Amino acid sequence: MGGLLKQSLRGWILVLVVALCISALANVGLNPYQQQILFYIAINIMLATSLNLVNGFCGQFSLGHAGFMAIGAYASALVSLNFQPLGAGFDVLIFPFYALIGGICAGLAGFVVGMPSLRLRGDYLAIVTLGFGEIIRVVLLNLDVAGGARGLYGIPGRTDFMACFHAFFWAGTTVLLLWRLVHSSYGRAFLSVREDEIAASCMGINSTRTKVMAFVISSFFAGAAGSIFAHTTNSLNPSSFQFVKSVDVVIMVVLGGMGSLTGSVIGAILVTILPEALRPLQEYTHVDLRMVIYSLTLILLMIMRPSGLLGSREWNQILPGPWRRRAARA
Amino acid sequence: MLLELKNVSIHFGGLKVIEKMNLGIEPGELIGLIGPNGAGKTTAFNLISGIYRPSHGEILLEGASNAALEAFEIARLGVIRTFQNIRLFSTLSVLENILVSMHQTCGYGLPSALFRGKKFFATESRFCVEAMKLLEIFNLDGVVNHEAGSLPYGVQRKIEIVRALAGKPKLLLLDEPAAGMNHSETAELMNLIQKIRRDFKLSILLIEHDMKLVMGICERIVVLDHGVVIAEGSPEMIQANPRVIEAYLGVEESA
Amino acid sequence: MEELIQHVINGLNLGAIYALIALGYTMVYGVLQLINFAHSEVYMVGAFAAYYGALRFHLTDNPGWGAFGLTLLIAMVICSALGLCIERFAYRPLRGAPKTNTLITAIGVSLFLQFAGQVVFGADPKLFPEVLRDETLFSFGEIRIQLFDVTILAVALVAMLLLNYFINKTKTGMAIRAVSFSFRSATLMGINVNSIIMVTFIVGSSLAGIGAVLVGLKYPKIQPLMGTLIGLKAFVAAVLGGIGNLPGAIVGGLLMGLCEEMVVAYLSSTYRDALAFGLLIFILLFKPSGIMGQTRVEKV
Repeated sequence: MGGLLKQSLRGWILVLVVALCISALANVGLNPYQQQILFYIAINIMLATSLNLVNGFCGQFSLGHAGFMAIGAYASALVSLNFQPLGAGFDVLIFPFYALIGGICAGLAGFVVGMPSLRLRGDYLAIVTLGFGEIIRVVLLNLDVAGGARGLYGIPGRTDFMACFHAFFWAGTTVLLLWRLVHSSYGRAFLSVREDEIAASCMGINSTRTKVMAFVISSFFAGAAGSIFAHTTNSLNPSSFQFVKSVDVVIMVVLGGMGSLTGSVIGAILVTILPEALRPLQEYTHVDLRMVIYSLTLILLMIMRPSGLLGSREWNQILPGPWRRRAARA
Repeated sequence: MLLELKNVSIHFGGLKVIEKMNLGIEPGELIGLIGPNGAGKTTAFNLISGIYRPSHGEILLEGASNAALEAFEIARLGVIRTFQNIRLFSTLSVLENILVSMHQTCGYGLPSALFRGKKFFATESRFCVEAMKLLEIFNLDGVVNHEAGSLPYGVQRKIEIVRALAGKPKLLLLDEPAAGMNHSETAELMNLIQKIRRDFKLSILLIEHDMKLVMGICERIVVLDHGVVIAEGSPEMIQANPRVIEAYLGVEESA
Repeated sequence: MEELIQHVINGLNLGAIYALIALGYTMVYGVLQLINFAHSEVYMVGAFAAYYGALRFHLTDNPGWGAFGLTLLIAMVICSALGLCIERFAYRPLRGAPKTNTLITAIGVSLFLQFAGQVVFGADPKLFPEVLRDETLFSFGEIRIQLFDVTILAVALVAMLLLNYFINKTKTGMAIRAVSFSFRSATLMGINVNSIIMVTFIVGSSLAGIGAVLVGLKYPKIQPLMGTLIGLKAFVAAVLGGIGNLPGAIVGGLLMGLCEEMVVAYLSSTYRDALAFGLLIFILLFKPSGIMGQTRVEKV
């Protein structure tokens, strides 16, 4: 029994340690601009891994992830702008709750959107989720309480050590929980629906419920990511949540490999860093070629290596020999 | 009665695929469903398992109509099938394929999966033990971690049967389980089918073209031709039935 | 009453343009089961092709039917060429791949063209060349019938009639219908599917080019992102009528145009664009096969 408890705690300890290390390094070694990038990495890791649950593991095609991020961002921002129960020094303890609220609101939205939509085939589902994402954005644009086109300002939040730890704790938690989900009977249910929905149904899998579950969980983490985004950038605007943002996340998932959580993490990191790495090119040519390169990458990826960098393999499957045997027990 | 088809018909537009089919299966029976290609046998399976809905008539599972049931609900009630064109979860391992069928009896909820509670570990090891037992019966314990889609055709057919068994069916629908098998494999399959019927106390409805297998193990045979049941009875009766012979071979032309 | 008639005329005009673009979406979906996201950018390039073409050939010096016809031709040719390139280099390599991969590629092509357009054409709006002079043809009371309105309806009608003849009365058209029905069977019948698909893209893209010129006449401000919104609405129109169904695309387009015009006139213009999304979701949730589409049964 002690052994099983140790196994359960192992994951959390890893998350805590990684989050601490990254935050400490960031605090000491990086300038504010680079720290901001680090926050985006954490947020994008949450977005990419959660989208992978639906697109990669469950085999559905959602193009509306930005919408759920927006719901989480705005919901938690509206709460934090109007309701700050703890004083300035202790607010770091309340941020996880804002993220939780954002996640729950987004998860509920995921349920509302997912229930009717998930009976539709691949390309139809893609269009419906695209549509919902855009509707959410248009509604926010016209909602006065959400600030309309001007958006929300002055959202509390910092980008210091504690905030960085918070962001990476969430990112690590997302990866850990999704990993565990995927390596459980529910994960196998997702995969079976992806592989052959009819066969899965005939084996007793409620395919609609399975898909909705993946969708709701995915939306939850997108919402939490949105909340962290809101409290890092301290302002929100519907223009941050356009269709292009959903495509961004799709690129991260596709690049890393649909069906690989490790791949999504790598994809998120690469896609966050790439535009910044290309900034010198932009300054040199005075032309914003970044998005052109971005979209070209997507096309070339799909034509030449649709399985992405890792395919559906995880970190414990790409290690050499003796390390792999050790890792196989993960 | 375990399964009953009452005057079941199904039309696709103008095409009448099955017309007024009547069938009854009692617990423990081993029944063969035969007929020439295109007779409607797999369609009958699709109707029973809930993939298609009948245009007329009703299908009763233990006395209750399946009209309002989804395919997964029918499977959970104990009617599980295999497929004519193998439908394994190809990129999953053999073990994972079997474990999917067990999800319906998953003893732990989402929180236990996410936070790795006691129930999670207990259920997972129980699943693995049960799966391995089933795989051993079919001599598949050697390929447990192989990717299902990479294995030979005959092996995949056996995996499909094990996957269906893992769902603890009361009625097993086997769609051409011996397709592509040679004599010795077919003989082995015949023994396995009878063994699982005995050991797991199942009823089995079997579609097959291999007459040796059908006549060899089925207690009762139903013959379908152009969507209509043309004969029903013991193997001896069916073999002598002129309508059946005509359906398969045609009529002898008088000189 | 007169106001209503004016709105109906406007709605039909808008609808005719949506129909032209929707036809492109529906034809490609019919043969490839692919939502050609890049179609909206082909439309955009058509507008710019007309712009640069008119500049190059000094077509604005003599506005009239000749200049207008030439502009149409330029737009159609350039759009067809672009459509062919996209098919050949982005879609054909993915012919056997899962549909989601092709969809992602289509999105990639769409974005690529949008951003490339911003780089090449510049992000600032340009003025569509005046290759035809507008004038009021008739007016009863409040209703005014403009030359542009008549031209749009007439050109759209001619295009649709020609398309109808092509699809239903020619061998190539029949081949297109065969490929739409069953890709596999068509190849087995000896149809050169690659050629048919190329023809489909040419026809679809040309219609988009025509649509671009017609839009450019009436709403002369063009910019590289102009395709997104109208493309989406035309796509919704195609789905509304039944994606893959040609008469459906026309019905859907006209319906879409009329609805939008009525919503703006009698309800509120803020939600004009949201109407498209709303309609899309509504139709996909309640009747995914559209007004004139048929559900296909999957064989198990």
